[in-house]
Amino acid sequence: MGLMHIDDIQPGMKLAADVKDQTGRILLTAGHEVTERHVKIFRMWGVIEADIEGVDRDEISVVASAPVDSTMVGDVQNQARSRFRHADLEHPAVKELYRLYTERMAPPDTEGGDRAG
Amino acid sequence: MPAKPQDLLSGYVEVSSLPMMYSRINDAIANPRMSMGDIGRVISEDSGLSARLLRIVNSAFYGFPSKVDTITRAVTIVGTQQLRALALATSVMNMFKGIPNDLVTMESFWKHSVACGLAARSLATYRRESNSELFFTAGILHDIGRLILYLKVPDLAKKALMRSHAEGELLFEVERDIIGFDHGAVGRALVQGWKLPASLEEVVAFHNSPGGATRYPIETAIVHVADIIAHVMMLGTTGEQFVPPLVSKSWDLLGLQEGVLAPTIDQVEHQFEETVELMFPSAHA
Repeated sequence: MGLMHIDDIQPGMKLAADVKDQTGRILLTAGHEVTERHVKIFRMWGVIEADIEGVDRDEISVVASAPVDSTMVGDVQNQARSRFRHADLEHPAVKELYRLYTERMAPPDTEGGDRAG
Repeated sequence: MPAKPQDLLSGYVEVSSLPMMYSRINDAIANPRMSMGDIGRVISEDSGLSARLLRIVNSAFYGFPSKVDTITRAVTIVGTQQLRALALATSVMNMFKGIPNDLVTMESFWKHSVACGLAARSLATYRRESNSELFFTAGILHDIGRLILYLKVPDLAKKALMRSHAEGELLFEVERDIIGFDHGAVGRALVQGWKLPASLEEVVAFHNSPGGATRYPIETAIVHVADIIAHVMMLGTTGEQFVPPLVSKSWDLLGLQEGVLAPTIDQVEHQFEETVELMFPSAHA
């Protein structure tokens, strides 16, 4: 199981955990197959991701980080290093934030990655 | 150099107490004989506050499918504690609105605060915390002490800002060196004076060094991480230019996976513009 972004969720995928809205109300319980209508309802209630069966979080992040890193412009990298100079880049959470920062900063044409893999 | 944070606040009438309205709402909620309708009526007496609250309740912040058009309905749907937290956030922002400050623009200051508040609220939801609005408010207030520094000791604050830029040092550490204490200590004194909950006091005091929080370590850790997320997103700043270091122990305390960071950022992004507009209308004017 692994968390998947709502943009990547396809009809037919199976929920590994209940999907709840911001207030904790259950919208759809674990084990259900997601339909297009479900995804629409999730969006309406501000749900941004869901736990999907058979997805490994590590796989997603490897695929997502590869294209940006390889084509990252030197400027962005220098800027990122400077902003993160007090941060411990060995920490997994900081590493993820560093990746998200460079992803946000990178010019749009380098974002060619296929997130869902 | 001021001897202690309280010195900056004594005789500072503009910020010495919260608006009357807030304590009236507080009293109404604490009174078991008051119904939800009564509480709604108390809030409705302040038309400016009511209008701001209704705009928030009808925004992407909640994303309710139908329009909430009265405060009484808002109280029923959102809840009294939650509405009180929102009332606090908007009241404090409103309070500082007319005070000029040359060191950091108010727009930038509140943008960072709103981003931190939204991130804190989102992280709180992942942890299934009950009153996520309180985390939003804690995020809004976390750097409030810095505003007092800019207003009361602008020369020292400017010196700190310039040194942190020139030397690449963290601003809260330079503050401790130049002023004698950091913005967290000042914010704590302010929040204490306002008689706000002890949880808010600890969050404001220790969001940069969450190890110091003894009674509310979870709340403090959430805002600590939310502050870092807001810095990563680069949506405004209260003076700090670097991503603050993550205290590993506090991260572990939350028991969250790294996987929640990306959706949290997405969620903040989704709600940010509209919330800034609502909480601080002149920011875009």
